[in-house]
Amino acid sequence: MRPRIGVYICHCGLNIANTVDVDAVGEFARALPNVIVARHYTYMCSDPGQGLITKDIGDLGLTHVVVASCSPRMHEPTFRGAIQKAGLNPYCLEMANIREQCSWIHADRALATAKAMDLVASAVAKAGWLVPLQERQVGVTQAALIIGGGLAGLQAALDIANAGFQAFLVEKGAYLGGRAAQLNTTFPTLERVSDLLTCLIQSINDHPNIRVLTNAQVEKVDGFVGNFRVSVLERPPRVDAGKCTACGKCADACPVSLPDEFNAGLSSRHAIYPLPPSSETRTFAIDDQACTFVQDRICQPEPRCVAVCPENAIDLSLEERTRELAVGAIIVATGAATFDPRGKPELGWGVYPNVITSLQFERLADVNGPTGGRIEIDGKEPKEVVFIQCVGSRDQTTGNLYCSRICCMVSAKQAHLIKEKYPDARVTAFYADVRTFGKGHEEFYDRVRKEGIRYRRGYVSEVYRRGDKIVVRAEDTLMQKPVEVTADLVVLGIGQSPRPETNEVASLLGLTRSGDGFLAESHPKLRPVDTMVDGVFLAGTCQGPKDIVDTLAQARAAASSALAPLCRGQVKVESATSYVNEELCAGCGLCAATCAYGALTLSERTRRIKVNPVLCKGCGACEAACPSKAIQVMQSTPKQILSQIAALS
Amino acid sequence: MTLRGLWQVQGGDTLGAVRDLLQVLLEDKVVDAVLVPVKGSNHSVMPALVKNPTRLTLADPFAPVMAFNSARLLSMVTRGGAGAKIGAVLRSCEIRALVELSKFNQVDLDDVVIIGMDCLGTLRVPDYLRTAEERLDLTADLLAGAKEGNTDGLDLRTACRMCEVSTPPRADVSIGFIGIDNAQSLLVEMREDIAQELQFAPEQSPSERRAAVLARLRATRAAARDAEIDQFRTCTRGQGGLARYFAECLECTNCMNACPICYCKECFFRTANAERTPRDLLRLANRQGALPMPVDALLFQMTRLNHMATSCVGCGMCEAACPHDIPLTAMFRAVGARVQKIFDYEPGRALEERPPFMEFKREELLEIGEPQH
Repeated sequence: MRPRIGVYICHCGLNIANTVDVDAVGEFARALPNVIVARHYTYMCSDPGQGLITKDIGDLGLTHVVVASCSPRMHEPTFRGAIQKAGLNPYCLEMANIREQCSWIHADRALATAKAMDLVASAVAKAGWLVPLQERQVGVTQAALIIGGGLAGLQAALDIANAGFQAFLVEKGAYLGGRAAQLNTTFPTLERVSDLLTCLIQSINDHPNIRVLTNAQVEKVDGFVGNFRVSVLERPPRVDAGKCTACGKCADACPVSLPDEFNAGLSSRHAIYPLPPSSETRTFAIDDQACTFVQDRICQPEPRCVAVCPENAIDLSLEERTRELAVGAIIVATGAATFDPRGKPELGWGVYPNVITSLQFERLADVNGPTGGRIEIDGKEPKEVVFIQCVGSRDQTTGNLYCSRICCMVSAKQAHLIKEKYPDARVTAFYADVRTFGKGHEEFYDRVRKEGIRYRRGYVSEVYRRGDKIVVRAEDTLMQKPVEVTADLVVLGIGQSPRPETNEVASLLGLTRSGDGFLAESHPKLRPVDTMVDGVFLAGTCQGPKDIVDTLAQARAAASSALAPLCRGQVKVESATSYVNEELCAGCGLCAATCAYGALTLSERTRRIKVNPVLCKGCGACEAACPSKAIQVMQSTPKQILSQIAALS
Repeated sequence: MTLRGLWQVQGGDTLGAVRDLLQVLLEDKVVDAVLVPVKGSNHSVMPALVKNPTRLTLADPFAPVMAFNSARLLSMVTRGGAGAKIGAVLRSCEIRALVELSKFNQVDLDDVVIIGMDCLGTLRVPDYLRTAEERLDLTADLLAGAKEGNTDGLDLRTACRMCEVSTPPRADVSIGFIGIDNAQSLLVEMREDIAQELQFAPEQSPSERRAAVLARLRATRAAARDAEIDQFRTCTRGQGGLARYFAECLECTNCMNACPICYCKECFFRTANAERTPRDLLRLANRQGALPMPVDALLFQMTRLNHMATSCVGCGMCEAACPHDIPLTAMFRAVGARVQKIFDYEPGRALEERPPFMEFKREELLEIGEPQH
């Protein structure tokens, strides 16, 4: 039977119709071989639009449908669903992209119309060769892996576990909480972050469905959505939390001393150190990288911490081990780094002790921090404080063109805190633009200004010392004149930047990075927590700068996306996979060498290529590589593609 | 580890000495069968798979004719496991083709004992038959000329006149006769274990004269190669370009059948996928005014070039098979040289070297305008 093809041309409002003569394209399509009907309509994706298609399928006995509209990434599922409802196999649909690939990129109406005709002719030529395909499902391992034990990871793990599924939470460091553990209060609500965090960590630790692996790192990920196999390298817990009373004798005995990164370098710690209070376990941990005994067996005559521990809680001899996990979905919540202010040397950080970062300020303000919550420099209360905004954000010179989204509010909150503690202090904030877009943010900004914080729109060119004061020199961009403000405390509002190990995380999972260096979501609008790898989702600041609210929102979105395959228990796998014609296959292995998914193997017995249809994504690299087209991809067979080309020539 | 020495020739019968060597290999079970060119009736010399040692009396691996690139035959004989050792007497281009075929799983080298021969070049089959008819003993003439690397009076194939590799690039047993007194002895090099089996003792062998003769050959041939490539480029740069070059192509696929590396079970162009509908042909004719036929001849040639350019060893079997004498060797050598340089790939050089198509390198070809890292 000859195919009976219906062609449906979408105006997309005026998106297409403005540039393409849709009536002429319809006229043209009607004359193409095998075309029974061609119609155009304002919005084909709308209910009445779809109705045109489904009605024709019934009335005219169409066997194949061509929709000329937007990219198939937009509406292929929509139209597949529509023709399926009318009784056609969903794979008997071909789309011609006359929006992104035509009307949006051309100005000349006549030429754009001619091109749209070509695209339609080519789609019609292919459509006649489309064959019905079976939808296929495979089972799912009903567990999820969450990489990163910061706020995003904690929340995502909790949501997965509360839905009744096993969650594995893998954290590289010794404790949970991530960046949030270092923060003092939230904005604009001024709650203690540690209260939120301890509550969350408590629920995680008590949850029967959550397995927390701290000191652990994902080494290898194989498999596909629903069926990932993950290798996790676990460093041993060298301090037995059950025995440790957190007396601190071990740390006193430890000869190694290094800057404490938890306190943002404001204090030092030993190679054995106490976990932060928010981590909910009063115990100590050992920094394997810093411990000279773990690294080089140097600590004479025997490891001092081991010798002094009254509870015999320390064992330095334990080895690393690899644990294999099977999961159905993966949530990446690896977080962000903070901008290193040494990238802006003119601001004097690292030179003048009274120039600190906003993160260091958080540590100073924390009652559990190095100063017990006193905001002081060299034991002196600040009287003149300057906040500098956009340090390492929106800045060509540092290469970070993006807005870090949190710094305006962090500085407003910190300025408020200064005023609260020292009402007489003179507080100035140099900003480029104040961006307070969140719920209650603008109100908080107003409140802070009323408290007497002076906001000056200005670009800071230099911070230098004059006597025992430091001077912030800036260009006031409203008054268009240089200003100098003396200060005894300067706080740099540093932005968030991609973690240095982002590339390793990306290549581990096959993810991509966006232009700003953060991990890329698969569509900025439509698929904001998905990645290009099915079953792998992004949560939190690994995807871009975020505050706590957005981080938790994205974590919960990622968790619910990950729950979809877990709940269903089955995942749909690509139907348009490759298949081998054994008569033609010479077993050369060119296709297997080009397959990015490991879906092709050479059978020793038959000396032909075998396809694992579960791994195949239908990308077609194999078909392009095969010299005799012994391997073909359904929906992209040579017959289909050559027909398309023939229609164009 | 190989051992090098001389294989004595009795009474000036060089051909007899090679037959002896093959016979010993067969009798000592170093190999279970030998694939070797064998004289037939009417001066014809064609490869045969010899199992019975007495049948080696007609073997003539010196005869300057190559009707078939035997790499292709070895694919047939070993693919899927021969369960036996096949001794294959091969010229340089055949060995290089064999290496390429092995990379595409078309030959099982575990089953092959390569017996590599020096090669001064070969004649087209009809030329060989005619010359052999005119002269009494072409093999004797060739061996005499080989002492000085001389091929005067032999109308060699273009591919051979362009060939810079006169010695076997890799072999389990190699037999040298160029640049030495081959009426006295042959220069033989063999794998240590085979040498032990044959009780072949290494000895100092004169090599200065041989090296000089080989160097001279290489230089002459490289010059001929460059001239042919230049001619191809001039020709295709002119009016009509490649279309004119292939104007006479019948799409008969003889070139493809003769190619030792073109390994597809069935060429795409002979499957239903490549069929054109009458409607398509008429539309093309309408668009172009006149449609050159056969319509896909150039596309077929370009596809073959695309598939073979990295692996082509320049044996010229395609050109020898062409009924219209289209100078295919020059095109493959010209394009091959450029493509192979881009990927730093030399076909037949090493088994470990993966064809560029099979290799993924993070840094390879740059996008247009992309700065070099």
